Amino acid sequence: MTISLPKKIFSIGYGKVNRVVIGKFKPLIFIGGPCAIESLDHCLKIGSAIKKICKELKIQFIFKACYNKDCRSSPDSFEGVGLEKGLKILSEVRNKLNIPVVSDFSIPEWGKPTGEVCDMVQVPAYLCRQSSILKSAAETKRPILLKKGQFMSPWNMKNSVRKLEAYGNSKIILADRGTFFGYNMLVNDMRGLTIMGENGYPVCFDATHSIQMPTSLGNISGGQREFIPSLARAAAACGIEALFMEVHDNPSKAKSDPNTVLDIKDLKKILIMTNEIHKKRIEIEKKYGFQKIK
Amino acid sequence: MASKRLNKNLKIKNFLVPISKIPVLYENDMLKDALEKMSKLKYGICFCIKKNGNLAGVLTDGDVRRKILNIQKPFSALLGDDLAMHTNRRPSKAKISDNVVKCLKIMEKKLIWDLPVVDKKNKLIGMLHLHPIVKRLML
Repeated sequence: MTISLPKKIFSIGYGKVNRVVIGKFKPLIFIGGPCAIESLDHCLKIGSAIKKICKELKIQFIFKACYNKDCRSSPDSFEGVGLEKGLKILSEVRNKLNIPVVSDFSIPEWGKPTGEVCDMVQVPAYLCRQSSILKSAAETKRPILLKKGQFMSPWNMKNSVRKLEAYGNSKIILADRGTFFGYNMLVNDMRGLTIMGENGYPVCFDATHSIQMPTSLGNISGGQREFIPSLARAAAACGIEALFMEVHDNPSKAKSDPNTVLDIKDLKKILIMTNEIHKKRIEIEKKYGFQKIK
Repeated sequence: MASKRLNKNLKIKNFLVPISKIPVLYENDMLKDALEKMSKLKYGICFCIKKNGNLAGVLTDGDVRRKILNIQKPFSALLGDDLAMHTNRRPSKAKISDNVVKCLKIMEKKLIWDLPVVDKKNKLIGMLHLHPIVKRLML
């Protein structure tokens, strides 16, 4: 761990989009979207529906969708619409909906164009310790959503943080998306949120990937959606600045992660409950202070 | 008391182990690096400094021993911790202008054999180690 630092506050968004502010005691941020970009219309449909819910609940929103899915188990799985088309769609989404967007990249050369369009760049969990990817992410100068690898301990994420800092970027959000528990199974160690938060950066809980059962169906990942609400609530109580969930209007037909994406009809209730806990947690911490036991 | 046998005018500078020969690390360096440096330089203490060179704390073999018993976290987490998380931030210390007898009294009282030596602005300039003083007493 690092010497305990207060969580940094910074904004995400450039140009005319509605910027969001993340950090200590700030309103909850929801990072969500359909995992993979399927089409412009689909992104606009999902994006505007989530935007409406978030506006009503006074939750800040960042749209997430990926143009390339590089870690598919099967050669037959959908790999995405590609860099050029994907970034064009993301650009349209941010311009039409006035919301910041985030996307990941899995090849260092893609960092620059991704950062030129997106308000935040995401480092994929499997690549969270790859220097070339981290360097490329840092050089975009955009805030970075750094996912903890399923194989990584939360305290070892400090090394990736230090790399990003050394490469000149200190706008970092650390996200937990579960940890391998034997084969084909992830579990959530909520201590990781506190441990990663000790680095002095906001933390995010990825609820839909956390319930994933990696490649449990032979050549595709399964998942247990029933645990999404309780895990999201637990993370909010523990202390997060952002909640991440992949959302789809027809999960069984989703081109990526059909067994884990959340049906958009279930989104509002989860956000309501998570946000209530988030607000209460801030209220309690302001009133009683953060209890640090040695 | 051994300190009575020493010339009261003896200055620290006669015994000072220079900063280049002692384990010195920054606050954000890892605990593992501190232990490696202590082993390499064969001292049971390391000194933690701020970026401006001021003394921020010390860590001794004894501190590490107690931490192993008290802190139950895995070694992989403990060894990766920032050094500053585990240092004694208010260590006994000596000023370069102090005389050795005064420092020896501190060492006798606290049962320690190393003292960080700082200048007027708390900048670390070296270490006072008991062994050279003992050697002098035996001459």
